[in-house]
Amino acid sequence: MELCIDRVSKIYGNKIACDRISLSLHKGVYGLLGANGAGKTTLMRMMCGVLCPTSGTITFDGIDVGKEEYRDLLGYLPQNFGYYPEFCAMDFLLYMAALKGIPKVHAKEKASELLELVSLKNEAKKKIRTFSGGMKQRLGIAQAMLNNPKILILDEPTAGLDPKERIRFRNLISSMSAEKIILLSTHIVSDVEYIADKILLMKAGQMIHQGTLDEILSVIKEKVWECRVEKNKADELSEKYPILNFRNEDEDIFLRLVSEEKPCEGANRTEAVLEDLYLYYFNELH
Amino acid sequence: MTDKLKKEIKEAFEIDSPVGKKQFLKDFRYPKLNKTDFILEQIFYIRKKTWLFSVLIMGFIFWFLHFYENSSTPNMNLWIISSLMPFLALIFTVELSRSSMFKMEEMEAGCLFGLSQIFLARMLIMGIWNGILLFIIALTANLYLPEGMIKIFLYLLAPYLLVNGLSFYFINNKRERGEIYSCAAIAVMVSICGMIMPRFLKRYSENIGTWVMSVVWITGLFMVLTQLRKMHKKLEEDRWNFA
Repeated sequence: MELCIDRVSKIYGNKIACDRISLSLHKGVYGLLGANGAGKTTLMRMMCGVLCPTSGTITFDGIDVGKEEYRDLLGYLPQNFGYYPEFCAMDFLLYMAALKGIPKVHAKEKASELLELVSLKNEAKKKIRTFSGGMKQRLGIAQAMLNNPKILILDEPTAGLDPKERIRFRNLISSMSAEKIILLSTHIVSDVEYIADKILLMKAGQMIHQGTLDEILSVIKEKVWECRVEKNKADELSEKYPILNFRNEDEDIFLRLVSEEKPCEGANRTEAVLEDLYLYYFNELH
Repeated sequence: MTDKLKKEIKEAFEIDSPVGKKQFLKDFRYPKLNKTDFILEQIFYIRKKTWLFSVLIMGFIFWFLHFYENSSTPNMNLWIISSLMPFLALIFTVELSRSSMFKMEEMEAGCLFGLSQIFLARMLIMGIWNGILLFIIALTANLYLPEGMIKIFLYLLAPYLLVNGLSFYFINNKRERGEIYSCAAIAVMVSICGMIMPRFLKRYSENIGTWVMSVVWITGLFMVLTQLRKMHKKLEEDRWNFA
């Protein structure tokens, strides 16, 4: 099982949204990280066949992304999606099941199972327009899984979910990772940190990093420091180093920063986490 | 084999409980719907109010034909019926552009039966439905009006095609969402034109109305065909620029 992205680019006018991206995805969970406008959604849309790449190809075991056969194996949750206001949760899932070619008799069974899985069983007959953002998101996740897809692409699936729902979602994704290719993008770094087998880092349309958590953290390994300094010193350090955290503490300022060598007296080296790397790459101060 | 023996064999052998049944059922790929089944299923997802409004328009036309006598203005009653056709066309357009109206395009595009097939299914269903309605309206009008079947069809189809053609043009060239309001405005304007046209044309020859409708019919048909082709091409080949 291989999803192969070969030198894929997307250009809008003079803007390069995705720049010659090549990837090979196998079974497991992939977390796609990047700031707003990095090209994550564009890449995901191209991977779902809803957007044509300007150049390059995307295939799954030799099947082109534009083919019906590919869409049959795909589950997709877009970043912004609507719903038909007259639908209740069950109608919505049955409608999506029909679009996925699932016969009604199986669709009803599958829809009930998924509504239970996303904790919406009691709301099955309620109109979607009465749902909260989190409930709509859970319903969106459920529709993506209706056809038991081999490729599951989720664009910001945890947006709007409360911490309990997020943990439930993470567990659900982890339980499916052995048999599917799952790609999810999010701004919530901890979600990726917990469930992704591999992390993909995008910046300005390019894939700047990919690897396991340990592999990508090696960039800033032993380079993260914490110190408590006076305001003047904090300003000086802020100009010199990428700052990961800046917090007022009594009269001093607590700083967490990235530096090759010890930035100041009293600074302590600390273990790097994914959020540090994210801020290191995407912090505008940097 | 006696019943007793059957019972004893049954008792002597214990069937193994199934291994991996749950996983098998989970992974089992059911035969998918074919295109015909898909189109038939889509009938149930056309909104009830779409059916209702079109039946109401037809009902109003029946009521009008039955209770209104011929006016002194030539073809006046036919003009009035004709001026209701833009609303039938509007219902058709609204149903076709539902995905875009409710931001469902992207989600639908990622499904086995993609957006272009959903669009074609809706177009087929609504096309057949509106065709039946127009035919029934024309047959009924033929019973009450003296104009003749061809003229009735011409007067019914011309505004219908014009509104559809213009609406599809707006949908294809939309810059922002809300194109449905433009379509509604077009329907109202064409309808009003249909109402005032006979009074305006009265001073010219009696046949001028038929000539006007013929021109509108040809223009509308041309626009519908070119714009539908453009719309389908956009869905099928170009896919959207969601940016």
